Amino acid sequence: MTVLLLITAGTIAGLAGALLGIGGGVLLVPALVLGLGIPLEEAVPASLMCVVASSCASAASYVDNRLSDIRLGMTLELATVMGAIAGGLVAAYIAPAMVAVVFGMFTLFVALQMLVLNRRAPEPMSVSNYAPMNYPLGVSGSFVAGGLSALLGVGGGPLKVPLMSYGMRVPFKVATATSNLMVGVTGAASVASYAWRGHLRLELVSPLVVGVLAGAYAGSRVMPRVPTAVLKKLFAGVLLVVASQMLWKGGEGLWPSLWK
Amino acid sequence: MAEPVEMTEAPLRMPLPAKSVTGTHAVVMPEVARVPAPRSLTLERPRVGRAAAGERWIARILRGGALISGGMFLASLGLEALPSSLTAHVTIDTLRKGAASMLLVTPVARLVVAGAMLGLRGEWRYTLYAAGVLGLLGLAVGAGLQG
Repeated sequence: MTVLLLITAGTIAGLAGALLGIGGGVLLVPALVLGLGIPLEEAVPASLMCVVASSCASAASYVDNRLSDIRLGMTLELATVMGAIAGGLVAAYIAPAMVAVVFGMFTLFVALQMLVLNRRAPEPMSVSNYAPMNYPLGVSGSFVAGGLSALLGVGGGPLKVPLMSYGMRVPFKVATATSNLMVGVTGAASVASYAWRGHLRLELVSPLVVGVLAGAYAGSRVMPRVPTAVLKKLFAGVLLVVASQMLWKGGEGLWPSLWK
Repeated sequence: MAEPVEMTEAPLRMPLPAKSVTGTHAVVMPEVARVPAPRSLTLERPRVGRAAAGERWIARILRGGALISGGMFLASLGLEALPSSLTAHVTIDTLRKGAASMLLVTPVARLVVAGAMLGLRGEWRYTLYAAGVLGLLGLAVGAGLQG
């Protein structure tokens, strides 16, 4: 029963990850922690592994369809991996409740940013005829995204997609496809540091990865046909729900007297 | 492997006179005659440039890594349903470790191919970025081994 639940959670995370370029960790960590009662220290490396799986399955299709910007991805990847290593080094010294609060505030910020900026900034018309702008912002933001990836197990996608879409004026679909390509390397860098410390539980990872691969494959087939406005609303909606859940959980751990 | 050559049904421009007079009737010759390429010279697949071929390899690596590791994880789940034995336990453990390693290596292999592909096209900046990412990953793994 638990295996089936894990496969289902993985499928939903993989589908959302492929559609929105968030890797799936942003959904999987709260699902594992809040839904299945798995400790955050075990849920984060497991979800990072799923981020790598989601990236591989969906990016294959996006590269084939020329939706991923390989050059932009490689530029931002360097900064992201540096950030991921820095985040992995400090992860052992931070309390899980604190990580949950940071995660909640971070997702809330991104969701509000998506909802507010969505009306201001017009979307570039073509997914093939565009030029990324503002590289310093993209590189520094990718460093932060990499650090958050290691700390929170979210692959950095929730920051990188708005960063590319709004900060660098890249079409939203290209941003999600490129983010999907990048989160694999970020996730691999982060999960390696967890694996060496013995925090990776493969019996938990196995059903999750099977589900994630199926979901990501389906999501990568559907994404090019879904309107951009729908994807943006989905992105913001998912982040708002997750933000409220994680802020509650983190608050409960940090200030138990306030919750009782 | 030889790169396929593009042969299309391109319009053939011939230096023909605009008009030729036959008796009292003026016959206007078409300036451009559409001549199909011979069947033997027409390739069935569209042109695959070095860029597209590189991207195709990246997609193959990603898809292959995902499928193989997914298959191994699925097989380990199937073996879990069987009656417990030492052999089954060892096989499950080996399959899972192999699948996890394969999954972690796949994005790295993709990065190597992407760096090599862009280097071959003369875009060395991206090859340096790829080398930088790989170097940092190696550093992280090395530090993890020692720590």
